[in-house]
Amino acid sequence: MIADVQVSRSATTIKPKIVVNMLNRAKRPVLITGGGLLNDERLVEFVYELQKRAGLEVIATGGSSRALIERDVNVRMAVFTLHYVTQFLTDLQEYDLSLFLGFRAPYYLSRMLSALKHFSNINTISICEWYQPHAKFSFPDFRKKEEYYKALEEILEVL
Amino acid sequence: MVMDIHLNNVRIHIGRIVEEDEWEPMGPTPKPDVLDLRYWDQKLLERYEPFYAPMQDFCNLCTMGPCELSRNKKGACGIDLKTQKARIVVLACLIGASAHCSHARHLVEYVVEKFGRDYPIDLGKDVEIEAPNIRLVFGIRPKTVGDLEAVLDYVEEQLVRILHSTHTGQEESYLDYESKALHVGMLDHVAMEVADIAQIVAFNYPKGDPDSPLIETGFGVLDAEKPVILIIGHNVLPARNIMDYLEEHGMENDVEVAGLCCTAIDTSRYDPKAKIVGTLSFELRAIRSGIPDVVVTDEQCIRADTLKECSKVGIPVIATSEASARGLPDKTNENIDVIVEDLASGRLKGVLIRDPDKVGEIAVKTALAVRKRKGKKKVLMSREEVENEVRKCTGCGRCVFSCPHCLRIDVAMGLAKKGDFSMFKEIDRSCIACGKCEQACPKGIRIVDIIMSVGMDIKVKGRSRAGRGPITDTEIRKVGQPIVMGTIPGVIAAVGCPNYPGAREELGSIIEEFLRRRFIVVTSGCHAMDLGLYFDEEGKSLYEKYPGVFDGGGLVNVGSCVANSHISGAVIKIAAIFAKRPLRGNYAEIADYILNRVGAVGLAWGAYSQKAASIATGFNRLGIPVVVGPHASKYRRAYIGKFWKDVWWVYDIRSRKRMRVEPAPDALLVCAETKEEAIVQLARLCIRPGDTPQGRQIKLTHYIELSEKYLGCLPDDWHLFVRSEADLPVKMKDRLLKILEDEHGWKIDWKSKKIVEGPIRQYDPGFNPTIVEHVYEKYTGEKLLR
Repeated sequence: MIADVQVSRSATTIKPKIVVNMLNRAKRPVLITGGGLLNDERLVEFVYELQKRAGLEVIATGGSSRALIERDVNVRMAVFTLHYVTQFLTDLQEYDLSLFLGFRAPYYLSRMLSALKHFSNINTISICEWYQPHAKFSFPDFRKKEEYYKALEEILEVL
Repeated sequence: MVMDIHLNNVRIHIGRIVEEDEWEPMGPTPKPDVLDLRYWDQKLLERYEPFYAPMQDFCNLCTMGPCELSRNKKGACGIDLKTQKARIVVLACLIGASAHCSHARHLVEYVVEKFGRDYPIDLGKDVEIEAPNIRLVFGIRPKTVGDLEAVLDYVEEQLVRILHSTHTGQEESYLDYESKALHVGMLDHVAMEVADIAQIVAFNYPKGDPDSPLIETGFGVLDAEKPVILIIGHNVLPARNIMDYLEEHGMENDVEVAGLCCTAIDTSRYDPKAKIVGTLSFELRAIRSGIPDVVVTDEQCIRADTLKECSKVGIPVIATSEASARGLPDKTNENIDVIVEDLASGRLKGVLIRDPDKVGEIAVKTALAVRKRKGKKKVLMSREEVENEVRKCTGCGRCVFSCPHCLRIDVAMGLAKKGDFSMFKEIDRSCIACGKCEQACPKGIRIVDIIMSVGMDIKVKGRSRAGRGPITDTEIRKVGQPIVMGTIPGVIAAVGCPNYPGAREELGSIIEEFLRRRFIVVTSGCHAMDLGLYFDEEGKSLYEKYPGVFDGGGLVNVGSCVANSHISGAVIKIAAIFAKRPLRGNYAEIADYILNRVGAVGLAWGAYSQKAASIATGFNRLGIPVVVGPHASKYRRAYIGKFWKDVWWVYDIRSRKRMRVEPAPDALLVCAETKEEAIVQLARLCIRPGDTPQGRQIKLTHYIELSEKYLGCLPDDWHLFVRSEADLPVKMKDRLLKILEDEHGWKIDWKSKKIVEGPIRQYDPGFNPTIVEHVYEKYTGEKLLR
């Protein structure tokens, strides 16, 4: 869990298979990516495969668009920061499920998940390396990077 | 008998009331009260809706609670989550503004006592508009330091009245709390201006000198071979006395004076021989190094465990401020030689000295005595000690979960056990040396010491330019027009605290990108010192590569935190000098002018403090957007416009119409996660409705180029800023016209390569925008129906 987060209700930890079930059930899901993709090729590859298999819309923040576009991922938005994107999700209500992946600053994502929890009805799933208490559902903490990548691969396998 | 007396240009001081000659007609809001500028705030908040991202789901400010407010529930007092968060924002701004205001009061009291109330305010012949914030808000031209007292009386009174509003059971709308936060931010800039003017005129700091001296900066300035006095904080008075004492006794070369945070900056403005160690994130490192022989603390941004940490390594502490007495005995009126002996012998861990004029002698004598007893200083842990510490690690990972940046200390420890210490170097670049990891570690491993020993370059030394204070009127005359027209593409103000994961490399590379593109870059405080440690291949810092002028491609260090008022002041002066708008008590008109025309954007690549929250909010009220680093999301509130809403309109004074405009700037406060993202945001937020086609073309060129460079694609919203084909970057014109036609459905006449239909509005050379009704009425003479 990221440092010192105080919540009234903590996220339910979620397994890869359930992530896929929720994705399949969602009317219009979206994946939001963060700056962690700038130096993690495996996350970029995961997004490429996920979009290829699930046709998921991708909104890139934190400069992650560059690596994704270079890997032929179709990015819906690239210039808006996570702050703006959270506002879109809250106000425009275009999506019913949002997944979050690869934030170099997990505390920034934590704040935005808090905003979505309090002021929107969207379902949020964090598939980041660290448990995110403000999300509705979150991967647990992965102490070892390989275990984390394995969980992402499981999503692709189940899809 | 009746006697007529005619007085011209006479100034009468009655107590704290300043009567002065009529230098400019008084505007509508001199000394604005808490609600007097609420109408302007409502204009801003209609466009830039507050966005809340709560840190906690609870409120526990009173004893009716704690109340769980999740999903915007109401608490026992009736307050909902948004309003409660807005209240917290007000409190944060109040803390920040109070810090500057108290600092200003100390300085003014000191200067009045030493030099008298009539000591003149003279900032040099090139600075006629000496106090733009004071003129704009308070409505006077201060001529003596005595005049500054009345200004502070006003600020203090307003701060108390707003603090009152945060008591249980007051505001019902978060927008009213936001208006109060904006009011506090504005007051903060006034207080900062008072503080910096007082110290510039009294202590003869540089007065707008672009060639102010270069100051040695970096951890390497701590000289283990000499007695070292480490000064920490923000109030220069004790440090100034140390410099004076050394000079009076011919000891300048015998004792090293080095500082952390803004005290370091202001001491170097007073005496360029003073050195700058670095930002707050170097405090624990500097103490743990054991190099300082005595530590002198004043106020603000000083670790609350300074005495405990110093005591561990045998460094005595001299506390000098009422704000941080550190539990130490007050020895202000005791015999100096006895104090020195008590400190040097370790009988006392520290003392409180409340008279800044006594600190110099005590600090210097203590440093000499401690140095004599200490012998050779041991700077860092030995490799053997490091290895012993690393062996204790069980890999439990608690350090990672307690770390503000989630740094993988556990992985670094694992590698180190195998003899690979390289990851600690990487961690050192991101570590803010807060020490939370050490508290979390069940084995008591000295993690910060390990990171320092293995990862830190203790010899690093750079050079930063001494804070020059105000921007001169001459400079504003030269650049006012290009900034308003847009041909100087923007002013980037890098200010704030060092609390960002990539440390100085990220800040340096952001700033250099804009310097190369000939934006004007201004900086202050901790950002200013970090820029002195960002080197090119030849080892030159940015200050050595770029001139200190307020012009395109210039890097201007105005000074410490309180010198931020010169940045807001410069922007205000553009409205006054270039546009000839009256300043006196005319806040909304000037802020409206800045919002619509002056492409200035703040960058706080952190920030952490309440002062930074207040400073940024003050910039926001003046119509200046601020981009902040990811940690600043913890301030809980942003101001983000929604381009899809019908809030992007202005009154055009020329055509006398209310019209739609492009959403520029579309945020007043927004976080960026990475430097790549920050760079693009800064460029886009420089766009203003008032840009000329040439200016817009230049701004769009930078925005699009930077987006393609860092984001790998055209920006999503570039088309919103195109008013005609003349706005398009020349080299990309055909490509962009095609995209406008194909993707956005615009009609293009390809023969003439002109846009026929599509833009939000056409460009009009006489366009004169305002969002304030009374400004419209003033310049059209026409009454609006409201």
